[in-house]
Amino acid sequence: MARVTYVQPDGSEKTCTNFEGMAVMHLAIGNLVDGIDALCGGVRQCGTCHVYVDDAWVERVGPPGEEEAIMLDALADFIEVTPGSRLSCQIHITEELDGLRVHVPKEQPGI
Amino acid sequence: MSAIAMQPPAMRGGVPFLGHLTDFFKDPVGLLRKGYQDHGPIYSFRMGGRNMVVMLGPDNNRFVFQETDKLLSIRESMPFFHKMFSPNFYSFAEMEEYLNQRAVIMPRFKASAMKQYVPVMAEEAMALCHRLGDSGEFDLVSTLGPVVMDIAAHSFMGRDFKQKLGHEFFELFRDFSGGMEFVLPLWLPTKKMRRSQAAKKKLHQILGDWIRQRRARPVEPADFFQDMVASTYPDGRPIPDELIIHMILLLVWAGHETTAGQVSWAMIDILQNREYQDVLRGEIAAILGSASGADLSWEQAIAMQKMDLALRETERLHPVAFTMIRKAAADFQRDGYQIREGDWILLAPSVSHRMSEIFDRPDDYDPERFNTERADTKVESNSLIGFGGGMHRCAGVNFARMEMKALIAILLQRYDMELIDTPRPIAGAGTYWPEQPCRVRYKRRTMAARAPADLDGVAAAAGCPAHAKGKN
Repeated sequence: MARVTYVQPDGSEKTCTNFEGMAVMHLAIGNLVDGIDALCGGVRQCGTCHVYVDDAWVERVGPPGEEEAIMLDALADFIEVTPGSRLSCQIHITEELDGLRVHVPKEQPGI
Repeated sequence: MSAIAMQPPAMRGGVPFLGHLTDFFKDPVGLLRKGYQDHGPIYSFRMGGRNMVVMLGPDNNRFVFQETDKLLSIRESMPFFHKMFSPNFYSFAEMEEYLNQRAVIMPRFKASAMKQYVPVMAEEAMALCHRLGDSGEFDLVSTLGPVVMDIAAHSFMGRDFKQKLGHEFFELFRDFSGGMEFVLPLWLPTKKMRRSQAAKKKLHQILGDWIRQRRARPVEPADFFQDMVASTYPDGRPIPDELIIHMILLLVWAGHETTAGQVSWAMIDILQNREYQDVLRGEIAAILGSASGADLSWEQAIAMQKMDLALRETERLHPVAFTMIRKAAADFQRDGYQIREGDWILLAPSVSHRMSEIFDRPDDYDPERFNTERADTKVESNSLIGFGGGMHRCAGVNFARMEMKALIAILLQRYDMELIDTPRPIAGAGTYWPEQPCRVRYKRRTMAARAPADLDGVAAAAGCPAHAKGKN
């Protein structure tokens, strides 16, 4: 199983466990994690599931895909985009990501 | 990548031209399991002119989820879908259109959006209890199926729709669902097909009228249907009525076809496993006390975590969507095997969920295997795939899990039940329902007066962010 920890802007944390075919976004939504809105439902169209991957995990999670990168570029006008920025709907959870930490931003674009 | 990749091992047997077609339609899960026993996690068989490549286990599941819309296409995987809905609709539309359509549906199915539906689910479950009375017998699928339909009609079209058109809608819908055809060519004017198309026409008429009525006289506060009528594409364009109708029909069809079977299997599993039934009863008693299920709240439902485990275990043992199909959009290699463009790729939850490499004692009912608080829990990611995965993961998963929870909790609280018939899956390649009749004998329980659990405490303990912060 793979556990993902969601860290809120106030430092509080929630760790959720994945057995299923879920992305980091699905796991958050299914477990009522605050601050991940995912309005488009996981198809990289809205940017409201944006997270900052913890520095220690950036390399293992890898960079955004082509279309996701275009989306993140466009979002940079509205929110702070950093090298660890990813759309959590595009991070498919595998066993290699057990222990992953992501930081939930203060605001999601347009929310 | 090796220089010369082999073809996936092919299942022996089968007849010329048809291949394993008839075996598949007689006992699909049996055939898929045999392929795994003989050849391991990747193998192939022929169905008519089609080469089917079966891929099993968590890593293959992950591969298929991640490669859908890339190396693999979902658009051609359910030909009957085009006829029941439209070729430009949802998973089968061009990518951009699919993304737009999904973006309209998804916000309404978030786990937090379930708050508004729990009272509807509880009301319809209680209506069933009133129909059942104090004791008697009922058949699982034919009794719970209509309740699932009532919950969908009430939640998606509104209370007024359900009251006015509930029965007519259900009858039409049953004919419409008959259009789900895996075997025969779709141009054949079979009775089932003709009925499905006639029902489709009538359903479009009814829902079209309903949309016009809601446009003329909006209800406040807006319910699901009012929101759909008012919704726009992400770029602000209005959504054509035709598409709203397709979406509503899709939600009701997909939700009914699967949930009716899954909730029946969940009841069967619970009734066959007395020990865990007692665990669930204990949880229900602690959370609801002796209060009637009519007052079931979202917070209480969220707090029923043992019930979550039970539902996951039933999803594992009896996945109603027993295969998921994609088509290879290009040649590629997987684990040293050559897959050709045009091959059909099958995931099979019905087999993967019972692989002993993945699950200990895979045929045993043991909901606690999913309990993350236990130190020995070790189920891998991408192992439990009853609701699919990746970008096409079931949009209604949170709704389905919540309604199964509400329905089962209310029935378990109210009745002592026992199975009359020996449950077994239906034959054939449709949705994997329990075969009918599968009857239950029930008798109203007596309950000692007991207060329900402290709600805020329950919600906070369950991790509800609103309660944890003390907002509510």
